[in-house]
Order: sequence, then structure tokens, then C-alpha cells
Amino acid sequence: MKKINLIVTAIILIFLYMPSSAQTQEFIVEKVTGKVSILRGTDENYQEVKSGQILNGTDLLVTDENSFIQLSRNGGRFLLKANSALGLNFIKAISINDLLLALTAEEVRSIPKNNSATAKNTAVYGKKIGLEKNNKVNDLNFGLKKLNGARQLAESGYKESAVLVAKETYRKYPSTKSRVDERIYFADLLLRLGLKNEALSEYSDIKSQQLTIDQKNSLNKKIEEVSLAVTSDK
Amino acid sequence: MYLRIIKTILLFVMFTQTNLYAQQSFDLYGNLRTSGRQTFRLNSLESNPGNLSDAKSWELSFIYGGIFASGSQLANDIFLVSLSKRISDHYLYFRFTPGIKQEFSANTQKTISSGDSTITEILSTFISYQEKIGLGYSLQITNKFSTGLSLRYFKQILRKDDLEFVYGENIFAEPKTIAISEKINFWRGDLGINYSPLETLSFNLNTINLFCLNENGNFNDNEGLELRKQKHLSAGVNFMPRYNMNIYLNYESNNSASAGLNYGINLRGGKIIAGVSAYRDVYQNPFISGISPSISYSSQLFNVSIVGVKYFSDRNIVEPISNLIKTGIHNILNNKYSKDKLLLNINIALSFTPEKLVEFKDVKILSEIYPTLDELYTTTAFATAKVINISDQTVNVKPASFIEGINTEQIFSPIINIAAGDTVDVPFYTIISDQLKPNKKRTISQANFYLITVNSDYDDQISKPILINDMNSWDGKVSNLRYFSKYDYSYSTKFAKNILKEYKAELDNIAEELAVFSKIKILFNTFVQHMIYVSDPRSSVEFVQFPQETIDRKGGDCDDLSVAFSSILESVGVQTAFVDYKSEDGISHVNLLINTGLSPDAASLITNNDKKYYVRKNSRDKDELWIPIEMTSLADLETAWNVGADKFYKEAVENLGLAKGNVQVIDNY
Repeated sequence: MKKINLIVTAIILIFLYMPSSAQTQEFIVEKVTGKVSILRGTDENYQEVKSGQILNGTDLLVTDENSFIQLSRNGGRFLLKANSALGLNFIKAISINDLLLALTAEEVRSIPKNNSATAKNTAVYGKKIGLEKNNKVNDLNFGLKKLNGARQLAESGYKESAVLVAKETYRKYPSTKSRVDERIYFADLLLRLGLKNEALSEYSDIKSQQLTIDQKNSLNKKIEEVSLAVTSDK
Repeated sequence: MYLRIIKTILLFVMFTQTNLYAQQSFDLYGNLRTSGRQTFRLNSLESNPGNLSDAKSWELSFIYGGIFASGSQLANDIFLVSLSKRISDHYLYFRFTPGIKQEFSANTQKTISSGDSTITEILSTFISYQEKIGLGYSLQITNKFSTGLSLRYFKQILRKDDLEFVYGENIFAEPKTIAISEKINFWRGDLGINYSPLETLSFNLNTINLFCLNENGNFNDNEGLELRKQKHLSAGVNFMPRYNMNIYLNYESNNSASAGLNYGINLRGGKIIAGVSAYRDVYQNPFISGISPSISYSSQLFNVSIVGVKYFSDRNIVEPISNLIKTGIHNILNNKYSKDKLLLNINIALSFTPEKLVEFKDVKILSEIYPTLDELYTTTAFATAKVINISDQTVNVKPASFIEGINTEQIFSPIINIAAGDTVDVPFYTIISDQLKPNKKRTISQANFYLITVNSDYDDQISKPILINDMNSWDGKVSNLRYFSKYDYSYSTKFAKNILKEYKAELDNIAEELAVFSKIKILFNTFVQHMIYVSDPRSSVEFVQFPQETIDRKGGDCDDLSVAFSSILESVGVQTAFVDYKSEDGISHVNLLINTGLSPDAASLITNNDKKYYVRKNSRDKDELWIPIEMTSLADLETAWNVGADKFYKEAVENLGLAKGNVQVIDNY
């Protein structure tokens, strides 16, 4: 029975992987300096990247201090600088319409209001134990590395992808939300993409963070200007 | 288009006829219409030879009238008594009209000279015109078109004195007054057609004096005193520019016409209508010869109206009989000798069959019945009906349905308010009786739909066939898998608790934050131990097993396994959601998203890879980690999670499946 189980599971896994592998983007590592690692697919462990290695879209690249990696794909090059992290599938052009759809979907990630785990289950299992957390996935620095990766996407012309990566990073690494300069950079990016309402909403959200006087003044000015532009558009 | 046809016919008639005719469509009912359909017949054979009526069954009408003669003198009389009956599309009408009469008397001085003597005698002439009875018939050919005919019986009496010489003892004849009496009876027949292209618009075209059948010839040497019977046509249009308002125009081919306006106000289930008509008769002066104000109250069972007729010229006329002979009488009710009138009109519906206020135009079955999705039919209509309010008032409609095989009694849907004349879509919901659920076979049943208003019985009823599926049938919508998931909650709870009991020691020592994740892991690994993937037994109909069936049968397809494991987790308070992956070929795949209850900051407690979870806000606005699990991966949680996460991240996140609607997350609650 177990054999049949394994065969069936293998067939299903092949079936499930098939359409996605067909779409996989392949990158060749042209140059590596310092420590650069990858997290492949759903793996839990990082591997070191070597020059000449072939990477695919499901890989996440992470560079340490004083490190960088240069990739090539179909004659094009992409450089990931130090202290950055980037999923390779995001190195692609996304239409402004798709970006808008994705931003809307981002807004509706909430589960229905009449439902909550706490309301359904009051029982608490387990003890209060001091847990050792992994030093990568929950690290503020790792979130910032992802934001750095997003910046480099934007600088390489993939502004729409950069916005998506930034949004996902803020969700998965909430502590990065307090980094006001980074957030203003991505809100400005929205504005450059012509998404005034989305930029305005982001500026307003950033205002709830602790801000310096300069940041506050700068934000107020931006909000005023964008509000005016939104009103005149109507 | 229609107006052009009518106008052409009228012009043709005008050119081919040389005589002028009086305004014949003068009606003593006041033409009180404010809607396309009227409960009572509110106009008579005069303006309605085609017998258009919406009377539902027997109807009795009675008019009592007073005619204002010279000064304040008022002659009272029963004017009209009528009885009508509708039988399906046929309508029959009978009236007795003692009040439709007009009499004239004249005195003539006649002198005869004979030798030296001259004899002068006063000779009187008396003429009476009467309409005795009327008969009507109409046939409703379609909803928009009806035709009918009318027959009216007239009586004319002429009594005239004359001098006759009687030979006595003298050689000269002596003059003597003798009375000559003549009676002429005849039938007059007319045809009419009525066409209502819209609820708010109707046209009619009628003949006047189409044929007349004399029973006993003409007045000898006095034909000028007979009723004029020239043939001609009249055409009319009724239009409702707004609810409760009606304007009408009748035109006769001699340029006589009448026009009127009526306005209604709904009052205590009935309606008050006030209106005024104006008449133009080429034989009368001034240009508008008279007006007829009217007011009525109609309920479902009766109608009372008061109609007045006021002429604008002097009606106390004394003139030589030669004038009467010259112009003649064209219409007994309305001529230059007619007096002002006041009439009380009472219509009574004699049938106590409740009147239908609303009716079905059509019913559309929106979905087959899937007994397991029972709760769905309390919020989503399984059928919708087009319902029209055929009354002249706003009606509250209580829709009800009864489906044989799943209902034990009528199920009422929310009350709908429908304005007069409106057609609206009425949704039908249902509740599936628990007693009838164990029915395992797919059957074609009858769904009976009812419309209930103020009447004790329903106003209309219609039946449609409907397919009732068996309990395992599913409509293919992933959002409805939750009904299968929660069907066996008690069994799932027992199953889950028995497993967790075995791992009590392990769970007691686990960190609080990881309690939910550990439960998920233990339950999944135990659940899949004996499971195998088995595709649906049928291909034509979606088939989903209940959780107990999947556990007992030790397998199922992606739907069955997702439903079963979701039920197990939900039964112990772990939130789950179905993930619906739609493909271009129409084949969907389903797996699960499971809430670990962990915050994003604690993600590292379960994974190093941020592609393996999805962040969603809970009802308290806090972010929580949900993990995608592929339920057909039956090895262990880690493998199923990796497979599920890989698919979810690629299709839902990277390929923007969630944004584009190719991937849908449906909470199971």
C-alpha cells in the first residue's frame, strides 16, 4: 500500500510541478564577490552560490556585507549589490494594470470579520517557553535586505515588481514598516508610476510612524501636492 | 404608425361621406380610467362598442339620474341597469336603458274654410325616441388585442293629430280631429377593436350605425322625424403619461370629438378618481358644446361615481317642428335639445372569487437542488420569477414555493412591494427539510411557485421541473465545499480529539505559540497515514464525500481530502480556507490554507523560508501566518506543506493569481 501511495504522490507532484517548471526563468551566475547564498524553492537551508552556477526563478538570492553577484539571462545582466535579498522570479516586467490588481488583492488579504481563531478556540495548549528563533527569517536586517533588493529592481527598470516586493516585505517583516526613508522611497515610486491614489494612501500611512520634523514636513508637502493632483484629476 | 393608419381610414371615410354626424361617443360613465386595466367597466356602448372590459366575473351596474328641465325642475329616472359576465376570454354585456329617451311635442294650428264657415283646430304632434336594451360581446384575442360587437334596440313613436271630414246631415263634410300613431323599432349594430401595445397606451376604432335593421318600415310621410342613422367611424386613444393619470381623445369622422383627463388617488385599498370630459358636436353650439365632470370611488367589490353633464347653450328651446325635421336627431343622449344631467352610477362585482392582483410572467430555475448545500438556498435564490402587478394599486406580494421531495410545507420568501403595472424579478429561496435529506437518489421533481397577496388563496401559481441531486452531489463551486466540511462536525471532532488525546504529553510540553501548528502537524500526519488518492467515481457530476466517508473509505480526491481535513481542523478550532486553483481547461484543483495563529515575527519558529507562508489579517486586524497544504500529498506535513507552498507562491503570489482571480481563497466557516 505504501508503494502505491508513493507512486501516486510522485505522479501528483510531477503533475503539479510540470506547468511551473516550464515557465522557470534560468539565470547564469557570471560573477560572485564575497558571501552570496541562495534558498531554493521551498528548501529550509541556504546554499553558497558559485560562479557559473545556473539559478532559476524559484531561488532567493541573499548577499552579505561587501558582497555582490552578477547574473545574466538572455544577454541581459542583473547586479545584486551587498546586503540585499531578491527572489529571482521578480526580475520581470509587470504591467501597470497587473500591479494595480495586485495592490487591490493586497488590500483584501483580511479574513472575514465574523471569524477569528480566538473566538472559536479558547483552549490553549502548550507552555510558555523561550523559543529560539531563526536568525534569518525574522531578522529586521533580512527585511531590509529584501527592501534593498526591491530598490535595485526599481533602479534596473522593474519598478512595478519593486513595489510588489516592497509590499510583501512589509507584510512578512512588519518591523521594516518603521523605516520611514525606505517607505517614502517606495511611495515616491508609486507616484512615479502615476498611481497617485495609492501613493497618497501610502504617504498617509507613513504619517502614523514616528517621524523627524524634516520627514513630517516633507510628507505633509507631498500629501498636499498629491491631494491637489488627485482632486484636479477628478 | 398606428395613428397614421387610423388617420388614413378616417380621412377616407370623411371623403366618401357627405353628411355630417353628431358626436356619438358621448358617455355617461365619465370614462373614468387611470390605468391600463380597470376592475369595473367604466364606459358603455356609446364610447365602447368594442366592449373592452377587465371585469373578472359577474358585474351589476345601475345608474340613477336626474335631468334638469326648465328652472329647478328635476325629472328623476332609472337611467340604466346592466349585467355583465366574463367567461375566460369572452365577455357578455346586457343593459336595460329606460332613461335613454327623448320626447318632443308640438302643436299646429290648422284652419279649414268651407263656404262662409271657417274651422280652426289645434293639432298636436308627439314624438318619442327610446333606446330600450343593449347587448355586447367581446373576445380577448391576445393580451394586447380585443374585438367586440354591440347591438342596441331602439323604439320610435309618432303620434300625430289630423283633421278628417265627416259627412253629416249637411251636404258639407264636417272636420274632426283623429289621432294617427306610428311605431318604428329597429336594431343597430356596431363593431369595435381595441389595441393596447403598452400598459399605458391603448387605441380603439369603432363603427357607428354599421348596420340598422328596421322591424316595421318608416314613418309614413314623416321620415324627417326618424332618428338619423348615417354610418361613420370613431377612433380613440387612451394614454397614461404617469401613474394614476389618464388622458383620452375620441374623434369621429365628422370632426366631432371628445377629450378628457382623469386623475386618481389611492385611498384605503381603493381609488378616488376625478375627471372632466369636454365634448365637441358639429350640430351643437358653441364649439365646445358641453363638459362632463365626474368623480368616483372604486374598491375591489364596488364602484360609485357621480357624473354631471353641463351644456353651454340654452336648452329650453321652443322652435318650429320644421327645425327638428330639418336637422333630425342623431343621438338620443346628446343633441341640441339635451338637458343638463346629474347621474349616480353604481357598479357592483357580484362574484366573490378573489380578484387576482399579480401574476407570473415566467419562472426561471437558477440552479439544481443540492441537498447538502441547504443553507445556501436560504440566502441564494434557486429560482427567480418575473411577476407583474395587474392591479391599479401597489401590492405586497408574499412569494412562496414548495418543492416535492425536499419541502414538507410551503417556504415563504421575503415580501416584495410591486407598484401598479410594474413587472419585477422575484427571488425564491427554500429550506430543505432534514426529514427528507436522507433521500439518496437523484430525482426530477416539481417546484410549485405561488404568489400570495391580500387574498386568502394564492393569486397565481406555476410549476416547473427541477432536478434534486443526491447528498454527495456538488455544484463544482469551491465556496460550497464548506457545507460538506461541516456536515460531519461531530464525527470530525471525535476523530480529532481521539488523536490529540494520544499526543497529550507532547502537546502539553510544547511552546504556546506552536500549539496550533503542532496540532496541525499531528492531525495531518495521522490523517494521511492510511489515505490514498482516489478519483471521483463519476465524471458527469461532481461528487464529494463527507469527512466520515473519506475516513471510512480511507481515501478520496483533492476535494474529498481537503473537505475531510478541513473539517477535522475546524472541529478543534483551527481555521482553514480552501484554495481554488482555476486552470484554462476548466479543471480546478483544491487544496488548503491553514491558520497557524503565528504572527509574522514568529515565522522563524516554523520555517526559514518566507515563501512557505502567506500573511492574512485576522478579525482583530493582526497579521497571522497561513500555510498552504497540498492534500493529495499523502506522505507527511512537511512534504504536503512544501508542495502546497510551492504551488501557492508561484500561482497565487508570483503569477498574481490572487489578483487576477485565477486563484481564490475561500474561508471555511
